[in-house]
Amino acid sequence: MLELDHVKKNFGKLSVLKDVSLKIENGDVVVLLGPSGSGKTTLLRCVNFLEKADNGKMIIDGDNIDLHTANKKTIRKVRKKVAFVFQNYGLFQNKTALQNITEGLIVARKIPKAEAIKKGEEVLKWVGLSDKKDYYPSQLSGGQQQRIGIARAVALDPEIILFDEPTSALDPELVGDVLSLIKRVAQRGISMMVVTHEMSFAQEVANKVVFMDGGVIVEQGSPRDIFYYPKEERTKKFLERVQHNERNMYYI
Amino acid sequence: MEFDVQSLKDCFFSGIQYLGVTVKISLVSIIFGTILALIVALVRFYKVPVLSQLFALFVTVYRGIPIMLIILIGHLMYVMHFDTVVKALHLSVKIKDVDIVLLGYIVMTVGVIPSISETFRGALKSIDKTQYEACYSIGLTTTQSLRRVILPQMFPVAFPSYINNILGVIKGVPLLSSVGIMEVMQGSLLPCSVSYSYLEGYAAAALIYFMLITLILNVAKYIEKNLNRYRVIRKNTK
Repeated sequence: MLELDHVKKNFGKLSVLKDVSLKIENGDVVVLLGPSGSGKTTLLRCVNFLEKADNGKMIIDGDNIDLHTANKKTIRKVRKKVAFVFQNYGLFQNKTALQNITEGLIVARKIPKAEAIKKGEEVLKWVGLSDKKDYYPSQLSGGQQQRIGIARAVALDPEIILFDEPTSALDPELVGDVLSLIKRVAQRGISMMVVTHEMSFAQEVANKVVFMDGGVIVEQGSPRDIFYYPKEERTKKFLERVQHNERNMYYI
Repeated sequence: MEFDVQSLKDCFFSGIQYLGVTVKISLVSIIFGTILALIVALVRFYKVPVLSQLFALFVTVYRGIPIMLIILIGHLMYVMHFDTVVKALHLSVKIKDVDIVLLGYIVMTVGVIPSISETFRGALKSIDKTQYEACYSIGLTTTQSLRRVILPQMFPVAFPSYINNILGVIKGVPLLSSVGIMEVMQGSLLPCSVSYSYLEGYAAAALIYFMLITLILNVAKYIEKNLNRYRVIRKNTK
């Protein structure tokens, strides 16, 4: 279980997160929606300390952690429970696909090398890229790289995986592969927080949808509530615009 | 004035005896200079308070002064303060017992730090931010991520300019002759004081240098090919 309490973050004078609180139960798939600049990605990054929040608390796995004052040791402890999937994959360019997955296991978790490699090969098989294990990221397509990125996150056995727009850098034809893989991650029972613009994915996989705008959570609820019975004016407008765009796509 | 092949030969063999000195000074200053430059680059890259400002000032000042002046100033300070420093360290050496080459090591080592550290810093900056974040996200410490991911990616980027920096050091060694260090160039000119065959002397020095640097460039080319292993894009990836 992960709980975020009164998270605030400013970049200079720009206040990106204005008091955000959110609760995620075990096995929850939470999709964060909202226009760009609404603070979704920043919220995600604050959870993994890639961005230091100016204020706020987090409860993860029973540990109470201050997002602003946490020291390095605490941060590393949190990062062992929270994995991150990047928009532009973030694979280590100087490591092969398999090494990308085993790196965190061997160096950060101190798992014996043979065991880590076994685990890495297992996960690679699970994402369907066993034959690419000795390839460097520059030799793989975007979709393959992102699947390795997800494999790396899953191999770490985290409590929760954070997805930061995992498909928005991909060619349209590759998006489906990655989304169906994320769906399989959800089926494993790992909690997830996903920032995405894929509405149909959100409707299908999420059990909680959070709509953010201007650094606050405007509305949250089940996909049914948010997509079919939105209460707030801002949510309605956003959905109208997005769905309008999706419909128009067919005519371009 | 005619070009005398015999003189060229004499000068060449005279100069090549001092190749060891040039190589030794270059090697020592490159090895220590690289290590120190890496520290300076990392301190400045991670903006370590106080130290990073101090190093930035050092680099700025040092880059603003011709290397010749630095050698001469270094020499003066060396002559004036060597005994005091040695005494303060409770050592019983006198300046006349110490080879002047020591000054060459010190001046050249300090002299390469600014250029190499800037090369490294630029290469560090060229690495995508996501690479750092990915390291942190899987739980690596800063040192671990540097050692395992960032530096292995930084060196190939830095390598071509780094080789340039190294050549600068080697070609800067003849300047040390101004403080009485015998190296390849001065060595090549030794026979000239008798025969006045200065053109041949300079040509011989140039020849030795050219051979040395061609060798280095070839080794560099070989290393560069291997460094860039992971950047090669093979065909038939799909």
